[in-house]
Amino acid sequence: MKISLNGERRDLEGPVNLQELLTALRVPTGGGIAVLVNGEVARRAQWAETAIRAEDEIEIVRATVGG
Amino acid sequence: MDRPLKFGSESLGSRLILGSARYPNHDVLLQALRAGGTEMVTVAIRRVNLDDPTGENLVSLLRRENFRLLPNTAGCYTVRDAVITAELAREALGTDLIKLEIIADEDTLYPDAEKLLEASRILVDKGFQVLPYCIDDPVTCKKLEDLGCVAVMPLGSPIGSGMGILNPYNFSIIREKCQLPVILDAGVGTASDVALAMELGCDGVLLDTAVAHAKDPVLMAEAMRLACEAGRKAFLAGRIPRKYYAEASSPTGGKIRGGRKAG
Repeated sequence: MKISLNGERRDLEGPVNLQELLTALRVPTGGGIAVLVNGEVARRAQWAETAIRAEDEIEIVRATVGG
Repeated sequence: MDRPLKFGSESLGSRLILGSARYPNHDVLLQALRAGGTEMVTVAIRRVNLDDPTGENLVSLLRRENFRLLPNTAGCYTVRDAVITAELAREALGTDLIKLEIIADEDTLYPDAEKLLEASRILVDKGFQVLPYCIDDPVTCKKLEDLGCVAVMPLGSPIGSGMGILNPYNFSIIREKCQLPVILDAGVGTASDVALAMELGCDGVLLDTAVAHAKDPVLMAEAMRLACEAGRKAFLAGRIPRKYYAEASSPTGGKIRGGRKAG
């Protein structure tokens, strides 16, 4: 299925949940990371229960240098 | 001993808050933060680089050194983006603090007062401790106070301009009218700007570029710390009023008369 991931189109072999996606992407999930799914913040506790669907828009962010 | 800088749930011994951007590398950043004596550091929220997801981990680095983090909404032009960024920051960092920036104009990076007020209201309702980056306008600052923000962060001059405090009189009025902590944010070019801000009664100063882009960022951070402390002490000590005419400092009584001497 196709999704939008950090502004880019990606093809995913589904079904997959958010936790699995982060692991597959090798994103460290120990802290400092947040995820937006279709404009809503996905709470960390819900990652494993959040199924990703075709055409989902996902943003994975972290804190970085800023002023 | 001065009292700490308090806003919301925070209590800071240092009145200097430093940014973490634009440093040559993380090593210089950490050295500068230490030299500045700062306890709180600002960070931005950005997409993870999915080509190198395990790369930079600034949060671990800063937390290892016990710096408290103040996330910002830098780069947001809409209320919605700012609110979502604040929510992402809360989720990522586990803090209700947010330095709220909503930019109106690319050239000046001036804040959009109308959107700032709306976003502040929404974020306060959502339980955030909001520190809005705002224009140096006493009216806007008062409105932000009435909305329940925990501090106001008026700009001295445009972000990164190094122009210092362009309207010191407004800062004096803000200090007088606003009960919230006033933290100068943006425009600092060098240490005297920080000293002036503190002398005008600001409770703290937030700066980034003036240190990060200095020839010697670590030395400049130390200068900023000293200026912050000096300005604060001068404010507490109370400056003398300005006058148009001179007032002799040596006693005017008991002066000698030179007498006459021939030739």
